[in-house]
Amino acid sequence: MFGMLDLDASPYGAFVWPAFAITALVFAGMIAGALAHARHWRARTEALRKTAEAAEAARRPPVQDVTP
Amino acid sequence: MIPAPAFLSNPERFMAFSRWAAPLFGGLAVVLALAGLWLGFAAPEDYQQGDTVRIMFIHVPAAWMSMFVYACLGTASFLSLVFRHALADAAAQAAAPLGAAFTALALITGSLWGRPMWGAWWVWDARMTSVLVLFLFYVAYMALRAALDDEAKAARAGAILALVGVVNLPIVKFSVDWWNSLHQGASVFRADGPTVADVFLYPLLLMALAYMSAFGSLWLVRIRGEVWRRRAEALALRAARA
Repeated sequence: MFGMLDLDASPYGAFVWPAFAITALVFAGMIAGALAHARHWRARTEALRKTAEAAEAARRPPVQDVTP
Repeated sequence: MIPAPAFLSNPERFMAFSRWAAPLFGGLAVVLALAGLWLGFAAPEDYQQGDTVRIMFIHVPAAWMSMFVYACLGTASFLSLVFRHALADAAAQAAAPLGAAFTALALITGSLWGRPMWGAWWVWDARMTSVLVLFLFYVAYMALRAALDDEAKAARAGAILALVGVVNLPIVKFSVDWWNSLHQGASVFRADGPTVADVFLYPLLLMALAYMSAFGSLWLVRIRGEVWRRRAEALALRAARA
């Protein structure tokens, strides 16, 4: 039923190949966009969490040494 | 109350689930796409469409996904509006850019097929016009969300707009039956079985599954991004108040 690949799209190559190229570009954009969005906000959350922890630690009173 | 899947209602469980599910769906999409492309380019030329039939393997799944993603957006918006699921709102917001991309792909690849087959890049055919309206609903949803600073108001307004847009889905689906259209009627999902020859049907279905898996993976990644964004904004607000 299926033989060798037929990569000769003539006389419609000017329509077939741009369709596949645009599809590849759109998928690349979707992947890059999704990963960049997730990575950016994850890094921002972690940075804010560290800042919040440092501020909390600075607010705590220093522990007094009560050993005799 | 409608029982939501556990991962939908609990961000921690969702994050644990999506951490392994997103790459799994992504890997599955690559395998299915490679198999679909192989079969698609091994299939013979169509006796009427010639080599342009290969555009169908990327155009038809994109068109199906444009509707499926909008159905996901509508369902998530409903859950967000009625049950106030924070993750449902994140899911709706994450689905919109992906749905817009699939719809744009359907319109562009359809145009590239239409020029050699119909002799026109665009015609105001019922199916094409309703899909263009679907694309505009996606754009309007994203613009509305971006325009409102108040997250709760943006979620509510976006959800209402998304639910209004659901009305367009049956119009897209049945436009070819209700009006004279250049598009053919359903040829795959029919009560009496598909009318497409197997050599074209198998690559088409494999590519459709690849698109579906890719959407599953990217949707999960985008929802994860939304969860991180909301956590970052909550932390920034807390820091500003302190």
